[in-house]
Formats: sequence, C-alpha cells, structure tokens
Amino acid sequence: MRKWLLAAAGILALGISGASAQNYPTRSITMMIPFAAGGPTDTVGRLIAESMTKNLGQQVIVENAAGAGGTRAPGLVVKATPDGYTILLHHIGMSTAPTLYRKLAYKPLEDFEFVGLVTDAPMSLIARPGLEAKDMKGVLEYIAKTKEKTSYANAGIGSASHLCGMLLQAAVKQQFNTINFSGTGPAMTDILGDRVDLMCDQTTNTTGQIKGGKVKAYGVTTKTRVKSLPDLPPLDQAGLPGFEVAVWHGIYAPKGTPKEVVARLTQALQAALKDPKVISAFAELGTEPVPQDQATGPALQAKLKAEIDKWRPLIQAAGQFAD
Amino acid sequence: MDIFADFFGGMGANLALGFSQAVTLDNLFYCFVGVLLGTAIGVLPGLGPIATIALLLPITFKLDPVSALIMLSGIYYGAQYGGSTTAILINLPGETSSVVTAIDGHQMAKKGKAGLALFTSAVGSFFAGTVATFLIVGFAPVLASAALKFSPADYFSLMVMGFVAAVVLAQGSLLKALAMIVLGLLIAMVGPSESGSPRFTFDNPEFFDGFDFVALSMGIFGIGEIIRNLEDETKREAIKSRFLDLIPTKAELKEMIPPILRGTGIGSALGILPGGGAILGAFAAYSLEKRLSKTPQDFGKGKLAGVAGPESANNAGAQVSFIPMLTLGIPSNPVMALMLGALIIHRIVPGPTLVTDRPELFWGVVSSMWIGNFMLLVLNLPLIGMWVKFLTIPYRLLFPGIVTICCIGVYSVSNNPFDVHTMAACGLIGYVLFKLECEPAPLLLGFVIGRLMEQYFTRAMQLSFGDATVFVREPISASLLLVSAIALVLVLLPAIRKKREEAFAE
Amino acid sequence: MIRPIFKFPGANMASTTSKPTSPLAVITAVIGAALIGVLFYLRSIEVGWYVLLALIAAYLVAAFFVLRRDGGFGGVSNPKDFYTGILLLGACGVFAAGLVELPLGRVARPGPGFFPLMLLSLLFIFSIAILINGLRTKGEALTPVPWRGLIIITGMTVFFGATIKGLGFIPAIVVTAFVSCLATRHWTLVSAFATAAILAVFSWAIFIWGLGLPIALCGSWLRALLISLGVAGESIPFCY
Repeated sequence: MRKWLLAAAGILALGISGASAQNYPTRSITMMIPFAAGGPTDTVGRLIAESMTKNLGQQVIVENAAGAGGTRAPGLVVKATPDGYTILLHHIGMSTAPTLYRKLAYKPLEDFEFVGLVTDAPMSLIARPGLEAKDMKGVLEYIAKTKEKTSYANAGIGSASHLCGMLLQAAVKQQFNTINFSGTGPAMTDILGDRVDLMCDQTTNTTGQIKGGKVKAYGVTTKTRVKSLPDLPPLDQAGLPGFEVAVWHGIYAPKGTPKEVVARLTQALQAALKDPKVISAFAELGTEPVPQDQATGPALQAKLKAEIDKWRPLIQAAGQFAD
Repeated sequence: MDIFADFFGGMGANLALGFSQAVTLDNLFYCFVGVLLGTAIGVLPGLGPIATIALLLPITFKLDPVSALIMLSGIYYGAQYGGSTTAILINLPGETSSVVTAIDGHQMAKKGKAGLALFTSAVGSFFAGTVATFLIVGFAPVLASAALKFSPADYFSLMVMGFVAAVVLAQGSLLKALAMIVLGLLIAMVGPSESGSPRFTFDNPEFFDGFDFVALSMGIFGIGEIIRNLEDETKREAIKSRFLDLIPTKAELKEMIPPILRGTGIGSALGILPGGGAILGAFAAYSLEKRLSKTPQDFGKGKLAGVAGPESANNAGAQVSFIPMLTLGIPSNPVMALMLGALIIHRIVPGPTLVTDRPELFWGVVSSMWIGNFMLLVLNLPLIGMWVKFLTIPYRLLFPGIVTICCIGVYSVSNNPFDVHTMAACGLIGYVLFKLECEPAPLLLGFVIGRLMEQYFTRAMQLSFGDATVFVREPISASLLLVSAIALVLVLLPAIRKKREEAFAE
Repeated sequence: MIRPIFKFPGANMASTTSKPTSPLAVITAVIGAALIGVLFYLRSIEVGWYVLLALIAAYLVAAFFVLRRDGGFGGVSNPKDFYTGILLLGACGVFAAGLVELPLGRVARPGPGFFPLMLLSLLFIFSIAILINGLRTKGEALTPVPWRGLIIITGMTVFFGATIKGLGFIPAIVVTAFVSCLATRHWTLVSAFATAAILAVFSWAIFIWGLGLPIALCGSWLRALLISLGVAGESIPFCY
C-alpha cells in the first residue's frame, strides 16, 4: 500500500537536491501550467509531461497555477531556482501579456531560457444554438445589424478566446459586448443557454459540442481545414480573408538554467513530439506536434518575438488592457 | 404505458451495461482504492480531493479510462464523507460541504452522541447517493438541459437566497448574521480581480492569491474552537461514548428519515446547476429543517435533523454534479474540471455525444457511483467505533495534536507558510466571533461564494447592458428574490415584535 | 403582553432563537440597504459621486439625531453587539482604504471596484445598525478570556509557519506540540514529552511516509548548522 501510495502521489523523490547538470534529472520536475486543470492548455501540458517523463526517467509533475490571466505561473517560474526542476508550459498568451499588462512582473523575452515549441492548436468560431445565421456570411450580417450589442464570450482576459475575439473585432471593425468568464466551461454554459452570441475557442473545447450539434459552428481559424472537424471551412475563405490565429504552445525554463539542462529538456520534448501516443492524442484535439526543427529554443524565441510584435498594435487598437 | 416500458426497459439495459463494466475485479479494486484514499484525505485536514486527484492523474493515464474515472470519482465522494467525520469529531470542516455538518454534528459529539451523528451521516449519504445515481440514470440529459436555463442573473439571485438560508440558520442576531455574510464576501474579494489586477492586497505579495479556504475554515472553526474550549477546562474532558450508541433508537430513526429525504431532494435539485449550486445545498437543507422543526431552538445544540439533512444534501449534490460534466462537458467545480481533463487525456471528448459514443464509460461510471457509496457505507460503519474511541482521549492530550495536524494540513495545501499564518489569524478571529456571538458559518458561506457571486453579477449587468432591473425581470430570478424577501421578512418581524413585547411587558 | 392575532409561519422559530433586535436597528439597516439600492441606481444613470456622498452624509446625520432624540446614548447595554459594530466599522475602514485605488467601471461594464463597493456600503450600514443595537438592547456582559491558551495556541501556530522551512518537519512539530501542551494548566512534563514524541512519529508516518508530502524532515537552517559543524552535506540528504 505504501509503495502504491508513493507511486500514486508521484513524489518518489523526497527532494534530494544538490543536482548538478551532468546527472540531471535526479528528482521530479515541476511543469507549471498557467491555466486550470482540465482546460486545453492543461491537456497539452499533461500529455507532453507524461511523455517527457518516459524520456527523462523522472516524473514530470504538472502544477496548475491559474490566475491573473495566465501571468501568475510565469511570475512564479521566474522566481524559481534555475536548476531545470521548474519549467513552464505557456501558450500564445506569453506574447500578449507584455502589451495587455502594463505592470508585468517579468519580461517574456529576457527572463527565460527557451526549450521549444510544442504545437499550434487551431480555434473554431461557434455561436449559440438559437443564432439564425447559416454560415459566416450570415454571422457578418448579424454583426452588422446588432452592432455593439453582439455579445462575445471569452474564457478570461489573456485566454486564447479573448485574443481571438480581439482579432475578430479588428477584422469586422466592430466592438462587441465582450463578456469575461472564468474558463471555457462557464462560458459554454451561457452559449448553450442561448444567452451569449459568439465564442471563438480552441477546438479542444468545442469539438464535443460541435459534433453533438449543441452549438452552431462557422469555421476554423487556420488556413486549412482541421481533420477532426472536416465540415468547417477556414474563416479565411468563408468571409474573413486573411484571418488566421493558432494557439501555439512553448516550454520555458527560468533564466540562468544551465545550457546542458535546457538541451536535455529540448531533447525530451523532441522525443515526446515523436511519441505515437502524443501524436494520436493531439489529432483527437484537432492539432499536431510542430516539426522537430521547431521544437528548439531558438525557434521558440523567434516565434515569441514575432508574436509580441504582431499583437502589440492589435491590442493597443482595441484599447483593452487588463490592469 | 409503452413510454414507461421503454423508459424502464432502457434504464434496465443501461444499468446492466453499467454494472457489467463496474463489477469487474479490477474496477471494484480501483473503486475501493478510490473511496479508501478519499476517506483518508477527507479525514486529514488540509489536502483535499482536488490536490489528491491532481497528484493521481499521471498514474490514471496507464489505466483503462473507465477504471481511471471510477477511481477518481471514488476519491471525490470518499473525501466528502471523510470531511464530515472530522467536522463532527473535532469541529474541523476541511471541505466547504462539511461547514454546516459541523454546527450540530460537533454538538452531538460533545453530548456523547458522536456515534449516532456519524451513523446518520453515513446512512444519509448512502441514501442520497443512491437516489442521485438513479436520477442520473433516468434523467441526466433532461436535467442537464433544464440547468442551462439558469442565466447569470438567476444564479445571482440563487446565491442571495442561499444567504437568506444562512441567516435563518443563525442562532443569534439576524443583523449580525447578515453582516457576517457581507464580511465573508468582502474577504473573498482579496486577491486578483477577474482581469488579474490585485485588489485589497496593500502591495503585499502574500495577499496576491487571496486567502485559502482551508486555512480560513480550519482557523475559524478548528483553532477558534480550541481556544474556546480552553476557557473552562473542567467541563471539556473525555467524552463518554459507547460503541452501541451508534445504533439509533426507533424514535431517532423516525427523526432522521424525513430530513434525509428532504436533504436528498434539495441537494439533487441544486447540484444539477453547473454554476456552483451544490455549495448551497447543505445550507438550504439545514435552514429548511430548522424552519420545519417543532423545536427549532434545539438547532445548534446537537439536533439530529441538523446533521441528517445537510449531509444528505451534500452527497446528493456531489453525485448529481456529474450530470453537467458527463452530459454537457461543463465542469461544475474544480474536481469535475480535473475529471474532464482526465477524460480528454484518455482521448474522450466529454460533451453531449458521450452517452451515445461511449455508453460503456458513461454507464460504467454511473454504476460505480452506487457501488462506491455502498463501499463507503461498509467501510465506515465499523470505523465509527474507532472514531468514537478517539474522543475518549482526554482533551488536554487531544488539543495539541489537533493544533499540530491543522498546521501540517494547512501547510501541505500549497507548501506556503503564509497559509499557516492565515490560519493563526483566523483562529483569533474565530474566537472573537464566538465571544461576540457572531456566527462563523455565514461568514464562510460568503467567502466561498464571493467570487462566483461577483462574476454572476458582473455578467448579468454586462448581458443586460447595465440595466439592473434584469434581476426582477427574469422570471426565475424574480421568484428566487421574492422567496428570499418573504423569508427574510418572516424571520425579521418576530424578532422586532419580541422586542416590543418585552417593552410592553415592562 | 399583547397576544399576536395571527402567527407567522416562522414565528415560533425566530421568537425562540433570535436575540432581541431593536426596531430602530432594523429600520436603520433596511433604510440603509434601500439607500444603497437607490445609490447604485442613481449611479447607473450617471449621477456624480458628490450627490451620493451627500445622501450618505444625510443618512448619518439623520441616524445620529434619531438616536439622540430616543435617548439611545444611554451607555453600552449590549456589549457583544456594540463591540461587533465597532470591529466591523474597523473592517470597513480597512476595505475602504483598499477600495480607493480600484476603478469602478460603468454599470454596463463593472470594474474591479464595483462589487466590493456595493458590499462595503452594505457592511457599513449593518455595522451602524449593530452598533445601535448595542446601545438600545440589553445583553450579557463579556466573559473572561483564557489568555494563556489563546497566546500559546496562536503563538505556536505562527511559530510552525515561521519555522517549517527553516527547522523542518520534525523539529517544528516537536516544538509546536510540546509548547501547545502548556496551553492548559493541567499539563505535566511527561505528558507533554509523550504527546510531542507520539505526534512526531504519527505525522511522519501519515504525511511523509504514507502520503509522500514533499516537506523536508529537517530544514535549511539545520542543514547549514550541521554543515558548519562539519557534517558532510551528502550524509544528510533529508535536510534541505
């Protein structure tokens, strides 16, 4: 029983510290996730952590540090000892936080070591079941008619759905009545209950509802169709030319983590992305692992820089700051 | 007739499929491990089901999804049950759900009736669990879509009604109970606001995450209770209690059955609502029992109905909250969110199609709930004797242990010494509240619901474009508010009249 | 004694369990709460804050004069309520200080300060009402406080929090348990030692051995101390 419990708790290592870079890792590694357990980012994180555990030979324990629009976990990771035993998995929100939050406790480009990109998750635009529009054209007509009374749900400031909403508002040149929820679950309640018009969220959250016919779905945010939702056209072709957003995920370590340790983590990440179990689980979520050459530190760093520059004008134009 | 035949026929077939899934040696084992582990962490203050399930998630990846979900749900309701045990024995509610149980349960224990209280709680939970399982089997999809009718304004009003229930629950001054609720709500505001900017933190980083419920509850109830017991040490020595006391007399049995039935009803009704209805179940059940009772003055002094009602409501609510998760893919509490995550990792997308796509999973889990409840009953009835023995330890030897275990428990929640200090401060507050005859239970209810209530208020205002009349315009919300208003007036009026009678008597 | 003509459904309950409440206190609370409602409605139609402040001031002045006319300042006759009111007013002050910097937003888009302001106003009203009740009704006097127990118990809880990282699991538990035993006058040296020892073993068995909590058995201060005494760091891996 005791053995079992220990294994169960996943804390086999009673914290024997003093690890050096050569024999890294000698104890369990904590992967911080900035969103609540059960959400899409958490799912991606747990799948990767599970697979990295196999490669590293030590438990990679997922710890959810939700809150503050996804800026709490990075703040904690920055302050953690840079020994490779605390890492961070974050999504696109890493690149929007510096603009959304004017008082941010960390600098995304300067305070981290970069392990690599993980995946680009597509998003889908869904609407309440009672919305009459048949396709994206109908939605655009609806927005033109109801103007600023069009309601849009997001899973909280800084969440992927919030970003997609901002992009959508910029694309249709109309401010919505944006309603913040504390997660996709509560937001979905009001979509299903016919109270909020639109939501654009990761397919992880929406596929079940779309396939069950409980919500209207109008398109996906990638340039190509998504395998798990073959009926949905890309929004780019359905009436919003140029509209593209994908929720990219990356893994970070605190600044000062030894080079060898970061390299070891990158190696484990690359192995995880080749794991058939991860690939098939990702497929189920409507996404796939990034190519191996993207799962590297420099690729993540470049992506982060490009994305920060991409989102800054959009957020400033929307005038939406979180603090 | 045919409809009924179909319905029950279908139900039978579904249950048969479910039990064939759940009653395999493996799954029975995982179910047992789940409830055992759940009971253990529930009894220990601190680590709750959320932390345990989060820790266990990695090993469930290796299990079959049905087994994984069976074990995780076993932990969930095992913890609910274990939490009541500590609440009754040492007035230490580690779970939100056991705050109400502690009120009369601990008083019963002080009178030497701990065995009976634990028995009532076990039987009530089992009964409620059974009813809730059948509700899920028969009506899950219907109930789930009915729950979607609740708008943010309705939820807000439901919470207002919950507060009225908490006021009715108060023993003393109603004004003070109201003030306690509002104070609890305000304390809940400390920490990050919805947009993430800090509130009421006075630039102290320790406050940035707000206060931890376990620290607050264990301080106000647990530590506060110890200081208060040290007031007159002669009174509180060992409690004499015999094992046989747990077997209720005929009169006691008669006394506990109606509250169990009513509690099950209330708990099931509120548990369906995905937006946090289950929290209110126990409070509502307690208030109803007090209101219906012929001897309401006995509540708070160890009344059997005060344990039976809320305990049944808790368990019914806990079980029924699986409905929105399994049928809509909407988690109604953090534990459900974790379960959802577990399902997704097993490549099962929860949502409206789950029942048809993976019937073996759905019905397997549902059947295992009943089995789990049965195991809890079998596991816990013999344990009651042991728990009761525990109380025969002289108090002067017992309380240092409670203090120490509370410290470890609170610290273990997030390895943060600040939580322990919060508990120390709350111990003082709890004692001051006791001195001034203010009720701690309404304060905790306010604290638990504060964030949710603000979110619903904000959303309701946003959806109505700032029109505050939305709360009285929407029928569900309006009726809930009306009921609350009437209940409040009914409670307030006699209190004023009593004062006037006193004045006239002079 | 006036017999009620008809009985309210809940009358038997409230009249037996509720403490006497001064009608004036209830009226204060009801009018105050109604005022809050009006204030927020006025706010929703964008009336300036100074109007609202004037209303609150008028309410306070009115409450003061009503109290004085009724001879309400006869002294603290119900100390439990009176002190509750005072303490709650203090809490109001603390929250008000924190509220100042929060943006209130608009009614159609409430900001972080909106809901707290509603709550704070309600709490303020209730505090005043309870204070009035403390002056207007008769209540029991406060009973003495067990200072010894109170100081030791809270002190040890604070001690545990302050030293769990530095001293570690076992030393923190032993000291906390031992000193806690002294909170009652009926303590003996033997029982205190025995309690501390049993608790240390018991907690280790459950929390470290059984549940595998990641807490160091002896903490960083002790590690530094032992190393400075010449103990090799590798030989004490359980200290960190």
